[in-house]
Amino acid sequence: MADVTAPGTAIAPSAPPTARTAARFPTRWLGIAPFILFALLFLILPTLYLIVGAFQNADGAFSLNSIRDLFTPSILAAYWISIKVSFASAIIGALAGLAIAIAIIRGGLPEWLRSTTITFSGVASNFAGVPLAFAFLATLGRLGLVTVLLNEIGINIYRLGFNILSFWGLTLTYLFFQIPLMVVIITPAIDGLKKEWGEAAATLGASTLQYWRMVVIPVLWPSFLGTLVLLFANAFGAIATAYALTGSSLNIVPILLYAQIRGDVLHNPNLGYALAFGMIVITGLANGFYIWFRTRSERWLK
Amino acid sequence: MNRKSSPWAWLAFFVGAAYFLLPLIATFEFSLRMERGVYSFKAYQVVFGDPRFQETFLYSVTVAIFTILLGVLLVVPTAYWIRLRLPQLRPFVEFVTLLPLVIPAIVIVFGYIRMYGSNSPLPLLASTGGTNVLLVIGYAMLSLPYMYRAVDTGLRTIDVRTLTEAAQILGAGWVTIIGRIILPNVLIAVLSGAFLTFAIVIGEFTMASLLNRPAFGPYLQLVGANRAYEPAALAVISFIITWGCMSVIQVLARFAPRSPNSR
Amino acid sequence: MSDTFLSIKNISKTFGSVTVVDDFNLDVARGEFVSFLGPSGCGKTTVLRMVAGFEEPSAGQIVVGDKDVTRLKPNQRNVGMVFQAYALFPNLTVAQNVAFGLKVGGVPKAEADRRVGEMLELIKLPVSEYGDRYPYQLSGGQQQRIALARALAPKPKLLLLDEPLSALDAKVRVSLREEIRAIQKELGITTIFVTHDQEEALSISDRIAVMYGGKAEQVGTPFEIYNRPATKFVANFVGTLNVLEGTVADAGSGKVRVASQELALAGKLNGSKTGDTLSLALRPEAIALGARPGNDSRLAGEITDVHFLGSVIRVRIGVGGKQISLDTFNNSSTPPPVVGDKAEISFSSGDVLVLH
Repeated sequence: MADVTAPGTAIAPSAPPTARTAARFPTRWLGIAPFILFALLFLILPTLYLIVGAFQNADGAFSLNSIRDLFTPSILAAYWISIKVSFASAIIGALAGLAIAIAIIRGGLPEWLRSTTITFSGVASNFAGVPLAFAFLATLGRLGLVTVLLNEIGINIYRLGFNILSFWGLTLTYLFFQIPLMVVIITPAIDGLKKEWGEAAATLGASTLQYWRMVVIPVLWPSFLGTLVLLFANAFGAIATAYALTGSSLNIVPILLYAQIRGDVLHNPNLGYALAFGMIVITGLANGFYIWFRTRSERWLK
Repeated sequence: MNRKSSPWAWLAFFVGAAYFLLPLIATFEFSLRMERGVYSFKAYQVVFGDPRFQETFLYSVTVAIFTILLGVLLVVPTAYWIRLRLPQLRPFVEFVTLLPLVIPAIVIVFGYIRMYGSNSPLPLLASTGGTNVLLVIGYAMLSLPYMYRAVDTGLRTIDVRTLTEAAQILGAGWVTIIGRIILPNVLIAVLSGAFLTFAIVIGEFTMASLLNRPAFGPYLQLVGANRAYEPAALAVISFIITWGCMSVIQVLARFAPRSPNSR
Repeated sequence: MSDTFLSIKNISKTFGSVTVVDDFNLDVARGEFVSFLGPSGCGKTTVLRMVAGFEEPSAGQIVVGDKDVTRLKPNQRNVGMVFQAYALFPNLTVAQNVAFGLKVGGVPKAEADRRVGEMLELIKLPVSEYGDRYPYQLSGGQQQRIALARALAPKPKLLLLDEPLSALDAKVRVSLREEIRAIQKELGITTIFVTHDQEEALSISDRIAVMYGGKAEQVGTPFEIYNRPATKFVANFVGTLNVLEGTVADAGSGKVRVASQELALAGKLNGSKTGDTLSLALRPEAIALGARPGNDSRLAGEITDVHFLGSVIRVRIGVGGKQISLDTFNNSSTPPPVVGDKAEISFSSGDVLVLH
């Protein structure tokens, strides 16, 4: 529908007499000039500045040295743990969020539970950053309530290898905003599943399992995948929670970049640009993959 | 299909509820333990009595208000104009507004630091005022995806073109149209975006910290690194602020005009 | 009805304290097309959903063929259903939608493909042109025909149509209802059709069950329902009706007084006594302006309103404070009626419906 109307509306106003078009043309575009200027100055150019810087040496000449220096073990390890935490928290968050969303919408739970859960999800998905780290330290830190309670019944989670300042500790913490974010985004998609589809499938002889496999999952898949990518980017760029939780003891990319910006810990300013470039590449790739997948396999979407 | 509730739904719900409620309970409990042997609100007294708390909180509230103003000025005319005159640019503008979700905040602020330093053509970082402005701009960018979507959804429920033409026939100019016709009609949507922006900005750490501004986020981090019980109290306070913002949005949603063809 | 195929016996349905369907009975013959007609909330959709298996009856029994299906799940009943909102699966192509029931039923691929082709041929959306399209690329009428093909593909025993035409625009609605009826006759499939549109029900049904308040007010052929409505509700709901209040002046000779004029309705009063008040109903098409051969009853009045509707002119005539509508054919050689003129209407006493 959109690809038919869009060119039509674009052509129609410019077809009438040229004098009027010339008079109207600039004002039309002036309307969004402030926005474009702003986006350019404070979003696109700063990003491009870093990307260009990543391909220069200290004298401003073209160089691949900074990019090459990314492939040193310590920086690679930082990327790797960042990707692992982001991916784990995104996939677990997406699946858990989906399960909760389905439970409250299709599970026949009371209506008030549904609205309470959605309101709470709106709050929790925005409860990130430093205070979230405090909350999990108070829960699962060495003196946290859960740690202490479990200790009293004879389970010392820290002796069993758990540490809040670790991969799993950080993942568990990130889930606190990842799961609700999934609930918030996927709920409208599940609501969009028409009751009649299930009834039509039933009259055609399909079992609930067949209905889910052939209709529900394919219909939800694009929203699910899109949210997954969003959750990944959300965790990948997050720094405040990790920084407040672990200081700099957990070496993830944003913390490394933070330290580099504050004090050039890598002793190479252009390596900082390369670090930022690497982050853009990874979140960009995640989005690119999503767009590619969606246009390729979901032809039924308008 | 049926009204019977499934045991799996209850299981999913209870596991989720346990995961989300335990940290909140634990944090609250922890925040009450400042005085040995008894539960008390001592940690809260200490926090509220700390002048640094008052200063940084006030600073962040001020920044949040300016961020909201800038966001509204930037987003409302743009979204309106896109709907009215340049619908073919919609995909492009939507793409731009979603970029801050893809480019991490730390990368954006890193770019600012390098581009707007004291020897750049636009040396915003050379003065405190300029840095404050840059922080507000950065926050406006962070909240751009949410603000734009909120306003655009609001505009979708009213017939922008007809309202505009009706106002033009009655002799209204652009400022009147946007200020007195469009804005009041999307006010609920704008307010929703505003409170969401407030929730995001109030405790933001990365940008404020890297621009060296005395905001609430860096203060929280500082307290967390040096004190034991106050952080828990601050976490509870932050949660209540976020909850408050979201509740306001929920209440506002009830007053929002409904689209005749809304799903 | 000799060859009963679907038997709905003493079905009731209550939601909490609300009774939606109240002791409903109906036998449907093999190959018969029966409509449930009634205003919204009359229970017609609930009965249909109980036949489909989406609602469990609070009491009663549903028998299809010789089998009691009352407790069977929807996917075990082998019924085809078409919904008001099309309900095509958006992620599947036209061909995949039609093949859905065959696929879950384990029909081999080659046979399923053949059947899909056959079905799409039947609804005149050939597989070569439409098979690979997605639902959003089709018009509402096309989507509903695909939904019909999908419902029919697994050769169901029963076809259930839940207001399938309500979401379509007027022209498509008429052509599709004729198509549905033609396909139904061709396949000989027993069909239940739920609608609130009396014209729709009258035009395509073998029989109609007019429902009100969870009960069947009357079950009969369209001819019976229209011409011999059993209750006041049916008479009012189906078609336009002029209702006149009358008093029985003499029960013996069948004299009834209407607006201080007298009508002779011998043999139509079924047991009313002198002095009883009656409601007399007349279809607009049964009334003529002026005298007409064979019309034995007449009433005098004054023309109050003239609506020109093209091929007919609807005239409203005031008779003692009551308005009577009648249709006269538009005839270019005679001048149209004029408001304010005195007029006489005539009708056959045999067409008068006495409502109790």
